[in-house]
Amino acid sequence: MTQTQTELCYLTIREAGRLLQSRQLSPVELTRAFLNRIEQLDTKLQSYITVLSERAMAAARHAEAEILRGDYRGPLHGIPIALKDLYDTQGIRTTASSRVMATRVPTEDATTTSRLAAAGSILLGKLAMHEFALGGPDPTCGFPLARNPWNLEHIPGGSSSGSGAAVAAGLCMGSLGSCTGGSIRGPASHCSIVGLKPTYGRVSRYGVVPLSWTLDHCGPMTWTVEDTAIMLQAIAGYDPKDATSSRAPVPNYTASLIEDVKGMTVGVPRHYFFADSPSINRETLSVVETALKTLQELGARVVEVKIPSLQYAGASQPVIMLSEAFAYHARQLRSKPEEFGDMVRARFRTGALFSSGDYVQAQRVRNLIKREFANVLQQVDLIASPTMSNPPPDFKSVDVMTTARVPSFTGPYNLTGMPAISVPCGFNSDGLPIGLQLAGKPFDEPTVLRAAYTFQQHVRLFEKRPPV
Amino acid sequence: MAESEGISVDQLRGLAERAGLSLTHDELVALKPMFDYYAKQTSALFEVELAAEDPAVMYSPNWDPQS
Repeated sequence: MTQTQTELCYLTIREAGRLLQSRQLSPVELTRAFLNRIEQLDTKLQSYITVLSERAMAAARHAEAEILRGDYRGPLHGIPIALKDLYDTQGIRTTASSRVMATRVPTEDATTTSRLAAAGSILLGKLAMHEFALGGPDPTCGFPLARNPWNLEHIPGGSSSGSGAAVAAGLCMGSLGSCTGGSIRGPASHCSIVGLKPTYGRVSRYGVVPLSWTLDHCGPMTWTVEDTAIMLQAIAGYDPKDATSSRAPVPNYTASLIEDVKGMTVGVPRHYFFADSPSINRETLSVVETALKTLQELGARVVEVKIPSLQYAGASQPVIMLSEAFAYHARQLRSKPEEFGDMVRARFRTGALFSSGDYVQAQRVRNLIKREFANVLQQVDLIASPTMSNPPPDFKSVDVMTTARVPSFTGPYNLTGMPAISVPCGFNSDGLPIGLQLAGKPFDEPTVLRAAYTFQQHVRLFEKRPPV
Repeated sequence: MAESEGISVDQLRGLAERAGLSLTHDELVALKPMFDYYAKQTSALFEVELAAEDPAVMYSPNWDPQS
């Protein structure tokens, strides 16, 4: 790979878009650079399940012709992206990283897939993930396990593992992840990229393999906050095919990217996210404390808030998630359990063992959690915390129980449906990334993006790429 | 699941069969630690003080922060 091609793959979506629009760069040249890089690096990163070389080059040539004749579609036109392999793609195998769906070829695109295509993006391929978007990296699932480009011995987080690894390593410019308890923000934090879980109902889930209908969200994963705003713009908005889709108007997200947090109030529920617990990593907290000070220095008011019911989030979320997951997978679990990997099979089976009373009570507690967050959001604009309670573990130390036991700092926002972003805020002494999580009011993605953008422009961690 | 810390393998088999799952003894033994972990967690949900008016709502996309 030439120096020029590496530089192309490290452009942001915004930077590449400007070059494409002004015809200083061809979508063909850009796409070829990414395909070369994937061929060279992905044998060790294993972030792709399917690479669509010929199809991507054909789409790039088509985009080039459109741009040359003056039909420029917008900031995603000619931009190489990739999708987590649970987004349906017409005529392209979509597996959810499971033998259960190993030969499944959708006959229709997911709404998000078609919206990104309509925006002119180039689909490079389908990305690795944890089986059915649950659990951890499981070698028994029959699909590749993506590795963390900052340290190949460590996991990239999940379940959108390939999305995190590929974006960080410059193997695509942006990706869509899905998130039921932290599967966008987790890998974003562990790979030092940006990941946004939008408000529940903001982005269509039609054509995305479900894990838990009341907790699932779809959202972008990119190198910068600005790129996240660009991708969100393309996919947000009402979809009549998704019963949970919201009709709330879609604002101009890139217009909200103003470098200014003066006057914003940021709440920190220290009793939960900074608790004196052996299961929360102290170095992570220290790095995030520095990030909070930075926000304060930039003009935000940082205050402590209390959300007592947060202590029940870790109990409520798995009951709802696993009960709903079992409902979806019950037939297959009963008839062909051997087609599931060990981790997912065990957790889906656990979902079968909760009682209806457990599920109902979990939903009632969820309502309480939502109400307490709503009260706090009348006093603050954002709620801040570490994205993850611990740095990415190495592959050897991950098993089904450790995955279940690690405290989730992301799950509460799947319960409440609030928008939440992870933005890189530093590294630990082992050189592993740490993310800052900012959550906002429902449908107030602009404020979330603005604060994250201001922070990112100040700390400039986007200037540091992993050593791949 | 609420009061089942330290469930026996036989009890676990009964729950699994009720859910339509035929698990071997080894599979039940392997599943038991996870079940016990979640059972303990779930029991805490029943300690929460909720009013009779607190419903188990289906989640609505029209999230009202004032509600």
